[in-house]
Parts: sequence; structure tokens; C-alpha cells
Amino acid sequence: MAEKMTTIGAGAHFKGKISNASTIEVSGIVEADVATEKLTINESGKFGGSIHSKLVVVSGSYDGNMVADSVWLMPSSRVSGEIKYKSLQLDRGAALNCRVIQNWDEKAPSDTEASASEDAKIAATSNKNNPEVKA
Amino acid sequence: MADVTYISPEIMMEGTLDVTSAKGSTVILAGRFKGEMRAVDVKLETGSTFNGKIFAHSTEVGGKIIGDIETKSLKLTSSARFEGSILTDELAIDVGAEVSGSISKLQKN
Repeated sequence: MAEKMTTIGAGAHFKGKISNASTIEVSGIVEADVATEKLTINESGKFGGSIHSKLVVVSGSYDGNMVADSVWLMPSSRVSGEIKYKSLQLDRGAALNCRVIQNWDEKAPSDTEASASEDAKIAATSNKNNPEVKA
Repeated sequence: MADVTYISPEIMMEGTLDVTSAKGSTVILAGRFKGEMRAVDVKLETGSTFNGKIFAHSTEVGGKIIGDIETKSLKLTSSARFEGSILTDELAIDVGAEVSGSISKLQKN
């Protein structure tokens, strides 16, 4: 057994949060938010929740928001929700019922956040400079 | 191998893990887990950390636990660090294990 591979077995049901992972293989049921490098959902596996991963291979079913560099949907896969990807392989037979976005701008959300906080700062400083604004 | 649930050393899991179905029943924890775990066989390896409750048929502990264990048979190996309450019928504690808390027998159903 590979040391750094986490396996959720066929009879297992996990609900919660998984962090600091490198490789995860799901044969059971997982309802969780996961950040990992590689995630495999086997044919018997069911996954619900958000995924942040470099590589995602789906043979089972998935529902949620996935953000991944490479996504491989095998013939037996069933996917709903949203996929943000850089490269996608979709095999014949795969059932895809979701929103797919290619080459999303990874920096976009943090940029808007940064500018938002910047705006807040400006607002704060302008308030400081003009105390009469408050009154 | 698909029946075994293995939580690798670098990982942190938080929540509930239920492994009581007929298909798979074994959990091996090498990483960190916080929450509730139900399984038939549970093994907490040396270096693992568990925080919460365990319900199992047989449990082997080599890691660090804070919480409660309810199990038919329990083995605490020499590397075990336990703090909490134990409910069990069969108990083995190796020399070197650090145990603090309460130990009582499982209630007969």
C-alpha cells in the first residue's frame, strides 16, 4: 500500500472535511470538501462536495464543485454540479450533467478580493481623513 | 484492498466515518482524525492522532487518542497515549502505553 494514499473503502461512509491530502481513492461514499493532489472516484464510489485537486479521475458518481487541472471522466462516470478544468478527457458513456468551464482564471477571485479589501482600506482612510463623514 | 479504509499519515480528516456495512469494515488510521468513527476493526497506527469517539468490535491503538472508545476487544500497544474513557470486554495494555481515564466493562445487551 502506497504510504501517502488514503483509501475510503467500499463500505465506508465519511462526512466532513479532508485536508492536507496528497492522494485519495474513494470506493465508498464521501460527503466532504477536499483539497488534494490526486483524487480517484472508483466505480462503486460516490462523492459529494467540493474538490480542489491537480488531477481528478472519475469512474463513479460525483456531485459538487470541482476545480482541477486535469479531469478524466471514465465511461461509467456520472457527474453533476460544476467542473472548472484546464484539460478534460471525457470517455464515451460518461454521463455529464453539469456546468463546465475551461481555463478559468485562477487569480481572478483573489484579485477581486484584494481590490475589494483595497477599496475598504481607501474607504477607511478617507473616513479617517474626513471625520465629519461619520457625523 | 478496496474494502479497507486507510487514512495516510499526512492527512487530516474531520467528521464522521461509518464503516459498518457488510462490504468493508476495517479502518486503519495513520494520520489525524477528529470526530466519530464506527467500524468493525479499527487500527490506530503509531504516529496517528485521534480526537473523538470510536465504536468498534476490535480496536488496536498505537497512536495518540483523546476521547472515548467503546469496543469489544481493545489493545493498547507500547506507543499508545490514551486519555479518556474505555468501555470494553477484553483489554490488553502493553508496557510503555500511557493511559489515563476510566476503564469499565461493556454493558451486556
